[in-house]
Amino acid sequence: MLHPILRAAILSGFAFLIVHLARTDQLGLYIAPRMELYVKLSALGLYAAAIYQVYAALRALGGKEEHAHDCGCEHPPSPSLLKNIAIYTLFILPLALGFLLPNTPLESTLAAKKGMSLNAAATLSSPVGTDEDVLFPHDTFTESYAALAKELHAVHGAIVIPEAQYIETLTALDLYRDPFLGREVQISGFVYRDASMTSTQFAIGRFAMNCCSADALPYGLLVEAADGAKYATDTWLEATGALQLTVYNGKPILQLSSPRLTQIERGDTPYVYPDYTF
Amino acid sequence: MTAYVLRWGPPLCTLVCLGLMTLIVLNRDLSFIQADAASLQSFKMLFISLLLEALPFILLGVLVSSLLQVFVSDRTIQRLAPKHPIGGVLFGSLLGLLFPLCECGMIPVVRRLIRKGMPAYIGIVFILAGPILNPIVYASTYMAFRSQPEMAYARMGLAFVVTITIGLLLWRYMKASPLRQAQPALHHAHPHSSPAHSHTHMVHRKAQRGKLASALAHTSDEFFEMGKYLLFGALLTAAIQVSVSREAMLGLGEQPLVSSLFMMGFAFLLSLCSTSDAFVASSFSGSFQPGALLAFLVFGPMIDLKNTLMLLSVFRVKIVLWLIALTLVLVLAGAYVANRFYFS
Repeated sequence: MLHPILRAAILSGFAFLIVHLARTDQLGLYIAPRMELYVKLSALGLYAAAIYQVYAALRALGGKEEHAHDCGCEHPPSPSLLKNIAIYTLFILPLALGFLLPNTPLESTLAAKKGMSLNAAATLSSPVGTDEDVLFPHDTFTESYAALAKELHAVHGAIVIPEAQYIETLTALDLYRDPFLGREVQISGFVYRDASMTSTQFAIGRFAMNCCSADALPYGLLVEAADGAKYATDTWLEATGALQLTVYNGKPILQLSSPRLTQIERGDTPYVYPDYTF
Repeated sequence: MTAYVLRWGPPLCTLVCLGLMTLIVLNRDLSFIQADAASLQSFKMLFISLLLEALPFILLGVLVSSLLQVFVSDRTIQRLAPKHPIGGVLFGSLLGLLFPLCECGMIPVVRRLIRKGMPAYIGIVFILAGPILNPIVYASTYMAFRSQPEMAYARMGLAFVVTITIGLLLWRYMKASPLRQAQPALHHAHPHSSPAHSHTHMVHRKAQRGKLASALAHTSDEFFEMGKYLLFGALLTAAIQVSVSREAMLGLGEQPLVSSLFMMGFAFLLSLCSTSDAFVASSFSGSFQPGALLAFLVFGPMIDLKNTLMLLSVFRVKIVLWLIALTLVLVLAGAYVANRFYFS
């Protein structure tokens, strides 16, 4: 009698948590948009299971044997009280965390653990140009980056790193550094600092998510600004400045030098997603 | 030792959870938890994110398992399962092509199929191979390593070789049922599972209500049974992700065997979904050799913290330990060979 009621409460608790997150537009803080539909559908499933548990509770109340017990194929709930408390606590914990603590996007605390990637093209081997007229030499694997770089290079004024192709744009800039040195670039994201940066340096970056926040990785650009120290870590900024090369942890990487900094509101979608059609 | 951990692990963890919950409730009065509020917040975000990600798959898994239980007879399963070991192992390892399910969804389905008389080695091969040998994972690996397409080929190839080998070894040496609380399929006949109707859409409501209720009962029972292992796994994974920094682990990338072992341990702890782990692996390609990344990509989906707990909920401890050991050795050897002869 008690078990079905507890189970109904837990199942509907999970369903309500999902509905609550979806209604308040916070589901995106936990999972990527392409997963959202499935999670919403599973709320329906949880809800159906909860209703069944209520039905089972009512049957038990009416003195009828619970089905799951007479077929003998499932394990009836353990008779040990301590064990039961343990198991139900384990189920209630995420509900308590989910409803009681605020939902905040992943920012610099976790970026420090996961490692902020400041040279996005580190995983690509830079293609060697044989023809000197070609500004963006490429092989079959870097073809789309070369095309994007060409597009970016043709832009008049500042090159904006867009939300839709955040990582792709950062990668293209990082892969073909030379033609972009001195160009104005605009980036937005949260402020990140670590021990190997100077007092006037910080990074502006965002988390890129594939599936859920467990696989999210932070990407960004290093920024050098004389008044940088006045912006607290995790502040959201928009920076527009000239690209230059600097040395960070013994490696040459791109940095924005003395940019114009504007504090901005964190958007509804704080993460960026890889462009699967790129 | 393992039995000891299993016996006392969950209750201990629960005590910790109870403590944590008390702390959450009393948040304002305790200064030491405020000092690390940011980490607690990250932990919460990761924990719930891991749960939400797995939820659709585990629900689908228990639902399919319940439908199988209620609507498909043991005889049908026994008739359809391949008889020849080679055929069986091939069937198990390529089933993922048809059902690209996440491993959390597979485990309940496989348990049901084994209980209903499918040879156990086929089911275990499917659990190991399914999360890698499927089109979605191939596509995402190919995209994450776009400048190194050999990685996608090597991942599929090594996963295939490893699962075939394990499948044949299991077929040869595993005689007893690997399931916990194993019951022979015949004694397990379900009172409601007459094979007469194969589908229900509540058309013949009276005849079908018993079946539908029975499917729902199975679904929610299994959800709670699997769910506790999933929760425990997600809890540990999130705790590890917020407390272990990645930087501390770099610099091990030189030695091929050490770095492969290291990346496998890392994959075990991260418990990523196999459709997105390639992107994480590719972020390491500056600091690790391809063999080590391959080990990460093949070992992680087969054996990780989250699914080890789920495997333990279904299979006997001895079998799970054998599976981990075999996978470890085979993937390590395969990654070494690939690094030596394939990536160069």
